[in-house]
Amino acid sequence: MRVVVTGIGAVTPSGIGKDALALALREGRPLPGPVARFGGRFSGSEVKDFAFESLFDDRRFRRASMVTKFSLVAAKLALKDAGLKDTPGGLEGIKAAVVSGVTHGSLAFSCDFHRGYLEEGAVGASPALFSDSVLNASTGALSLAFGAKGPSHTLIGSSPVGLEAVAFGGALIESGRAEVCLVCASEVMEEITVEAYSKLGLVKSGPDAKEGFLPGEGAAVLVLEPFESAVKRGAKPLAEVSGSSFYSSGDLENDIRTAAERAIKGSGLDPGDLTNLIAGLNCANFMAEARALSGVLSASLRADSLQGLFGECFSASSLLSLAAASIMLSSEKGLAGSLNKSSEWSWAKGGPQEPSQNVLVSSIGLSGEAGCMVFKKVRLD
Amino acid sequence: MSRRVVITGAGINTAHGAGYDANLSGMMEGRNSIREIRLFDVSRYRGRLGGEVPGFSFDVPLKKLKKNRLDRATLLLFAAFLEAGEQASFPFGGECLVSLGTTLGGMISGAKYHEEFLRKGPGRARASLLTDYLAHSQAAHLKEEYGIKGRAFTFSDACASSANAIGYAFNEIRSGRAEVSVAGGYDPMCEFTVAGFNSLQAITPAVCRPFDKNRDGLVLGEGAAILILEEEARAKRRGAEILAEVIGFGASSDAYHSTRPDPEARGAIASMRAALADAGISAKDIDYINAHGTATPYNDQMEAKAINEVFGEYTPVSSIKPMVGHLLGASGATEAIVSIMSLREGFIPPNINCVEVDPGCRINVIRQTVKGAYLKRALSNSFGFGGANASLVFQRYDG
Repeated sequence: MRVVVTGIGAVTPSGIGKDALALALREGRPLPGPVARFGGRFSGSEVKDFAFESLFDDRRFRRASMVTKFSLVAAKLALKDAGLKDTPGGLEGIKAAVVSGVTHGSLAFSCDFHRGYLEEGAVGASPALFSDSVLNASTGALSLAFGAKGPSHTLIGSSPVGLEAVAFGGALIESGRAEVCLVCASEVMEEITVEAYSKLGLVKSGPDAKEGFLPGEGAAVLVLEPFESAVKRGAKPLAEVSGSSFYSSGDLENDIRTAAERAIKGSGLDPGDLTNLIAGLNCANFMAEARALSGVLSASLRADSLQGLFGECFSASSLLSLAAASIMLSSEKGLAGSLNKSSEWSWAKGGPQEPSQNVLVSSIGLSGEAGCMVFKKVRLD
Repeated sequence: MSRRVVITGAGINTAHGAGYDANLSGMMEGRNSIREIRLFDVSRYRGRLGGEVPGFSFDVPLKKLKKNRLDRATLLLFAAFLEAGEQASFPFGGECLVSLGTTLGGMISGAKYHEEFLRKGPGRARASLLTDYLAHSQAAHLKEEYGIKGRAFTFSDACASSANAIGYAFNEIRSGRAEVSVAGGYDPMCEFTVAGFNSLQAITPAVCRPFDKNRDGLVLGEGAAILILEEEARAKRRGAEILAEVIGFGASSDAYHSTRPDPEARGAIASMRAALADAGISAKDIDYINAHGTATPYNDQMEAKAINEVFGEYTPVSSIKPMVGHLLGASGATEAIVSIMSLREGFIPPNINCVEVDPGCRINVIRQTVKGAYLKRALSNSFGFGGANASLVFQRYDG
């Protein structure tokens, strides 16, 4: 069974929605700068002017965490993009699943809940904060908001977990356990994490620093469906979900190479069939990623990364990369390219902006997990 | 491709103690292993009881990681993994799917980091605690220490986490996408959750009594449970002892409320029916149901309604939570191992503390251990926050 993407929803520093994402990809204008809510102490890529109540008209979620609010808005937009009902309970009657990839969850709520009982004892422990601090809170909120009663899963991991969630959602569709699957990843920059990553030497000291990453935030939701039923109901398939592989053994270069080779093989492709690479370039591991991929991929492919636009959004980074791949595959316009200007990437610098056919998305996590996934242009035959 | 998936190793630690044998005897005896929580001060909470793993210490030397850098969650996981691995003669160092479930992950480390952040300031809080907080870090530690290659998936589906982790591994092996898996879950006793469930008034101040007329809440537990799942032919080829077989998995979502179950039990019914359909059997083929059975008024009424709807009034049902507590993300895997014990040893663990079955729970609650029973198949339920439901079906392995 062919599994396709029929809807994209995004909340990014470039704005709300697929069109804002597509525009940012075309313009390739770096978005990171000093983060206002951290008093400018750190640079990063932040979502600004996010007015939840004007974007999501369901009062049940007005007190939800920001991570959940990003997810809900991205999901509503993705459902609308897919031509499915984006209203409360809109997925009732459909075998609909929700799969989320999560790195941090709602740390703000966890911290506020923790502070409450530390400072005031049992009376300071807020039940509302507790129930929305659990790692599957946003997954549950999506099921609840749209009436998705199929399987509901939250996968935890570093940046590649957005790819894992798509692979998992695709398997649910392939096996018939779901007719539609919302795949979600959402991350919010929190001072507590940026401080910690900074102390560990992982965060760039400024936008022009060579080492480390710039933190970012945002959310993406993809709607997955079987190709046949999507076409039957008149939806436009944007991209076809193809091979994926996740691998770690403690040898980062070998791991990313293994994941890339297996994902390409699993897609029934040769490396030379790939027209585009969207690399993670995250977690200060970009040199290893570049070296490993240069040994697998053709020099003529076009290589890009969203890292320069949106910073490191962890789980959301890899899902946003797949959203970008879907946009590339469904339009004739290429990305402007925001590749890290490192000599390690000279083998794949540029390349013609021809229509994309097969896109490889790669991602490496903080703990050294490597993930790769291939999206293909949808053949309508 | 559809292949048979068997279990060749099981490792477990709960309030009954560390190891399969300690837990088997505790479950058969119907021992109440709930005590006052000692790992932190509980004097300010309504419910002070819990199921801590008694005298837990992890004394196996580590080759790569430093034990004093690892939190209780990781060590509980390591202990269960080593037992399961030893039983299965699991070849460390090969490629293997790691599929784990947890609700808290490294919350103990995360809470410590946040406390240092608040009390000492950001500059003096130990940053490594935050990376250990991330709920996939325990799987990463396991892979690193024991040289396991391949992919690791960590599920955090609240109380259905490890049931889903096992279900995922089962599907991956059955479909040919994996050959062998370390699957299960872990969660430590942690003040964060005690404070949380207290704030929800979900913890009993007295006795945990699932399905009892006077039940008034759960007790929390801790522990880890790990299974080694393999494709049948592979297990036979290498002469491994087969403990039981996984034959079905179903999952659903309530889409009803963030913490309360659907009183109409539609999600739970869907999950159990999906597991039966997946196994290719009918309700009458199930000999025992290991219930989620938390002892909260809402959960038990909902679950009993679902069981009654799918199985009727006579299939034996029990919850082990009054014996060892609610292990949250580890509960599904723990109860999977107890279901396997039941199939192998021919007994049904008792639903202790249930004095008078709630007339609203029209199911066959087993209150005393049943021994000498021939049980062919057992179904285990896990229902979590966010409306995540999972049901697993296990079968006695007769070749």
